[in-house]
Amino acid sequence: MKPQIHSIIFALIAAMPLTSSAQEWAFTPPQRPSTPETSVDWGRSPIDQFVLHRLTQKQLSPSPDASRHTLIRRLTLGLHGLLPTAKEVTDFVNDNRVDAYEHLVDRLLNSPRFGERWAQHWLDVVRYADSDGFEYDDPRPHAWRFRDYTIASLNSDKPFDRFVKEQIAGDELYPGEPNALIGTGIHRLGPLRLNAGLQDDLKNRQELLTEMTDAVGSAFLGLTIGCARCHDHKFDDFPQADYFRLQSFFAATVPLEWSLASDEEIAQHEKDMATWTVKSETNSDAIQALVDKHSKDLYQSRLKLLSPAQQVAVQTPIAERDDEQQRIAAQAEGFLAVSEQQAVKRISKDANDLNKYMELQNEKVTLLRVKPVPPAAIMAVEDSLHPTPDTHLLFRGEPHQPREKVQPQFPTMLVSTEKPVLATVNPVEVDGHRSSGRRAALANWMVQPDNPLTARVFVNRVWQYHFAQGIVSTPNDFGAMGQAPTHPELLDWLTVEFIESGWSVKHLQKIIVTSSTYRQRSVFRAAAADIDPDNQLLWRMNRRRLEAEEIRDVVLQTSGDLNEEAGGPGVRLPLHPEIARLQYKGTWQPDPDDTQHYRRSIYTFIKRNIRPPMLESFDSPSTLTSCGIRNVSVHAAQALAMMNSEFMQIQAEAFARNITSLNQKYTPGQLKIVINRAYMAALSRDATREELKLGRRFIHTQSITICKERVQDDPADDYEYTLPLPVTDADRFQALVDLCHIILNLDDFMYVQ
Amino acid sequence: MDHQSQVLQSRRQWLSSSGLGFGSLALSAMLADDAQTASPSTANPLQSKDPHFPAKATRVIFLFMAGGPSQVETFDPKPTLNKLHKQPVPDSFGSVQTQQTTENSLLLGSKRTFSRFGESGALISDLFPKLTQHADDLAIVRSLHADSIVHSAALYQMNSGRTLMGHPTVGSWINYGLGTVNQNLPGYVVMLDPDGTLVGGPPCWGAGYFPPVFQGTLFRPDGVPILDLLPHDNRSRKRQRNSLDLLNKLNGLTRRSDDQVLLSRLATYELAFRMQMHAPEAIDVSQESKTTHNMYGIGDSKTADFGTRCLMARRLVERGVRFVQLYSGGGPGNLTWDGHSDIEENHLRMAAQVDQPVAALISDLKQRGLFDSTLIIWGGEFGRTPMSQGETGRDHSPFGFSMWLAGGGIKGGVTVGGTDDIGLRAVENPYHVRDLHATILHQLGLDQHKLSFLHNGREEILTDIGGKVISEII
Repeated sequence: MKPQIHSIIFALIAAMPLTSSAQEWAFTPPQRPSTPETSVDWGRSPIDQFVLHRLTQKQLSPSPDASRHTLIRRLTLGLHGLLPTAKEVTDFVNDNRVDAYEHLVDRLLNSPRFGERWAQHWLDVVRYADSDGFEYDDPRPHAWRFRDYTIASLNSDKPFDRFVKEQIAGDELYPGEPNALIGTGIHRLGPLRLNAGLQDDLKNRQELLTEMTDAVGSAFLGLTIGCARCHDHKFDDFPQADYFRLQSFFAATVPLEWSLASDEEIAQHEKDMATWTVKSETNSDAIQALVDKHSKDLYQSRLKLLSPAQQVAVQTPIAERDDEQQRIAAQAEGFLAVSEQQAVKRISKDANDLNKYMELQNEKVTLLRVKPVPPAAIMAVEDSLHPTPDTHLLFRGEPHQPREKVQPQFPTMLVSTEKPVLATVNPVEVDGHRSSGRRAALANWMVQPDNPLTARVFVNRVWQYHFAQGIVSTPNDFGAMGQAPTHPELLDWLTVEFIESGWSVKHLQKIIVTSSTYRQRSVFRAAAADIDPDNQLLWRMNRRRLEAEEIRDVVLQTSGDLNEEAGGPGVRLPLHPEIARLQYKGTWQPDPDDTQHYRRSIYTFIKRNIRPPMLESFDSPSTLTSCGIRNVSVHAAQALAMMNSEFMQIQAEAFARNITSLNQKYTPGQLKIVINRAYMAALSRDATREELKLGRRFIHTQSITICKERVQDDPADDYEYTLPLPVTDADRFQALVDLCHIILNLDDFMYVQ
Repeated sequence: MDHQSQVLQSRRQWLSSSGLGFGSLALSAMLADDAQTASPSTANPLQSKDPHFPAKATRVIFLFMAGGPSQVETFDPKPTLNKLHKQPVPDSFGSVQTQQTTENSLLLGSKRTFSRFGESGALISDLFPKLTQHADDLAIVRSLHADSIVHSAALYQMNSGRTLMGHPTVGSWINYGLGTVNQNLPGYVVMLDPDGTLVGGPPCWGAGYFPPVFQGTLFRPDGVPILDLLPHDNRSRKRQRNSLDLLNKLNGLTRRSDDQVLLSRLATYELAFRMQMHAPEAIDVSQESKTTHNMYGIGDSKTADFGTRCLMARRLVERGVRFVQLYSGGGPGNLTWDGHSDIEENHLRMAAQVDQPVAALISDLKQRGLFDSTLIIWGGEFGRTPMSQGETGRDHSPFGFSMWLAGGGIKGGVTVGGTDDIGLRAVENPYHVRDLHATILHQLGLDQHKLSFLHNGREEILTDIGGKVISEII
């Protein structure tokens, strides 16, 4: 054991830039610092003064404002995760008001699209998914209400402290308010392991408690405390006992399905389910009967191939076999065993039965589609274990090795020493029963003014999503394993401003995106990069690759296929059969209504074990642990998905159709119009002269290639290749589809400048 | 400096001008063979890298027997168990609870016969007649143990070291540590059993919190090996080439002087284009001789599937793929090694599918001089109970089970460790799954502690708290 611990420590030291003073900063309640004086005339807000101050210290200068085309694209993607329309671009570019930019920001913040985009960030943090994960990966029919609740909370600018309190203890603090109850679903969003057979109840319970505790640590406190479950956290002052003290706030907490359905609806559902179950069982019995029939036949025909002695042996009941027969039978049985797959193969050779089999399979699919939806309910928690079970420190985190008992208590390092550290817990009345009040105590502490982390951690997240890097670049780790802040005073100023605004997320958004720091160009400057290669001091705006869901959404938007319908249960997208097969239990039924397949990604059904390959390749989160910052990777599977997938090819064609008329002419003048339309739709600007030239030339040569291949592929056509090729407008349209497809792959499409 | 710091530092320089901050592991897959781009050593995560110390093996084939083969039917004979057939577990073996059985369940003797093979006299059951010719090449470990009694968690542990989902798998770690030598093929290839899906699903070959470039790529055994490898509408190479040329030109118009990431992005399109040729060729077993086909049992319906995949595995490692994993068993229980109801029927059938192909793979690798540098691992996610489930089946048991390793610097003809007299628990030189993982890394020249990755505030390693290398077999 010893040597390995040493080598871990060495590794940690090598990657540990956060000094103890920086850590002390993180654990001290923020005060509003005074805005620094700077001699350079730049900036619109105190934010800019903090940034400028750091820049000038290093002899760096900020970048000027980006163009209006760039700004509206950056803002619309940043706040909505969508592209501005051609009209929106033109309106903004031509808006002569001095506060045109502020008007744009207000419009974007007041649109419901804002909540749809920013909810995704929160869902990353709370590892949202619509299924359990592990072996069964069962659907969670009510999880989507948490997603819609998050969107609505953001759109209504619900004060963030209230948002925190609802999630941690909505049931105890706001009894009788369904929305607050939905918030408590956060405690159930993690992966859930279920298995058949004998259960280890202690272990199962401990897994639930661990999920709840770790999630609260990551999401609200920005601390990765999971390791402290098994041992004292190496560098933070986070002893193992603190971990279990935090866990003890959840000691009485259990899952609750809060029905929203009326008694009639529940009764109706039970009736529907009974009918459905009978149909479903009849169907599967019929399938099984067919399989059995052919298994039996196959078995019989194999039996005939055995030697007489073998035949006798296997047909003798097991109990009556002598030793020799046992030996012979064992050998033969492997040969005789018929797998379901083999039986199905045999069915396919019998036309009649194949027909029957296919009909039954079709019926099975239909039945799955009409499976009665469970009556509406809220996925929530309640404190219903009475008395509240004791919490013990667990040796190595092992539920079967309890050590001393601990009480609800806030992490020592986050509480100033003069104060009593034992949490004051008052039981509350919820829905006619006594609730321990422990989570209410935790929730109140989380947002009380001297909590050093909750607001800071959230403000840092918002900053990170806009600038592609946080002021603390490790958003889920403000502890000793995290990185030191680049602008601690700025983060404190923003945090106090945020709290004093009444925890208004929209106010925070607005002051950030209206700053000059945000409006900078992203253009590279070699001299600045020499001093600050990582742009930590923000001498320019960071370029940002679109996130996986944004890519899918803007592709759909560009092609004109995006369905902007909001809310409701997660939509199951069509999956390549090969991917759908990767689920172990159940079948994947895409939503029967095709228009639903074009909903925004936030409204799609997130299955833990199977992510759509394109989203996965662009670093969509695993949903298994809290994701504070996404990877931005570049690899070949992305190119395969973007160039070759059915989705992209269909969208490229829709895009081309969207910018052409039915009898589109391909004269140079017409082509210019069409290419400009494509550029405006996808890149929020007109094509340059050079781009127009390349585009036109491509359509010319590609349509010739397409024509040639078309003619060659037609065996009835003995066309003479020396003659001019009969390029048609259909060929030119196909070439335009290819051009559109390439536009959807451009750096300028995939990245926000 | 540890491995990740090196990767991060060089990558940080590389990314410095791209505007992607710390933690955003922007990666180029394929700069290595692309002369126009930045120094590959700083940019390409799959660039072939030197190990920490001289390696015995440079590649791995993991033959995964999903479902959990029984130790007492394969490599761990237990005469005492046979004597105690139909009796409860004697008190001296302690209490036990598995998914379906407890110490009160009756013991089930094994019907297998074991014989000694090779000069080493390795004990192997009659399930593997062909494998016995390689008895002196195998290092049989009879004392493995794991932590979960259920498939999904145990599969995650055997693949990623943890019973939870979401951690990088062994193949991911190895590609992270060593890269891969053939940039035209993925470095980590997984071929599932066509009988059905694996219980644990995609996290079994996932990259966890690593960037997705390190995750296993599923290869289909027939037709086009990789999803989306070819255009959905099957357009011609020429038409694709024209499109890619346009992409290069248009991107070139707006490309900024600082765009290393964007250059590498372009390189991935070229790689994807080249892969269309390389990947199908790599698994095209029709290029192999009739003799080879026969050796692998490709003509026989029992062995055709696993034999084909074993032959593909050889072709892949020959072309430089770093880590290949083949599953025997997939779908519902009895189509895997999960003999709950009738261990005899199940294991006879499953073993008959793999015995000849596995023996052929060893012979073939030897003939081609690849055996010594290819580490082969055979085993499942756990073993099975000596107690019976029902009359004739066995339940899952992670408390003591057998696996074997061969090639890649592994000492052949040794059998190490042992379970108690009924084959329930590993008692003699017990080795945890993390010890197996430590051994795999060791053979590849990787130091399990140096190969680390900082994630959510913790310096993660494959072996979690560290494993001990199984010294008797190296």
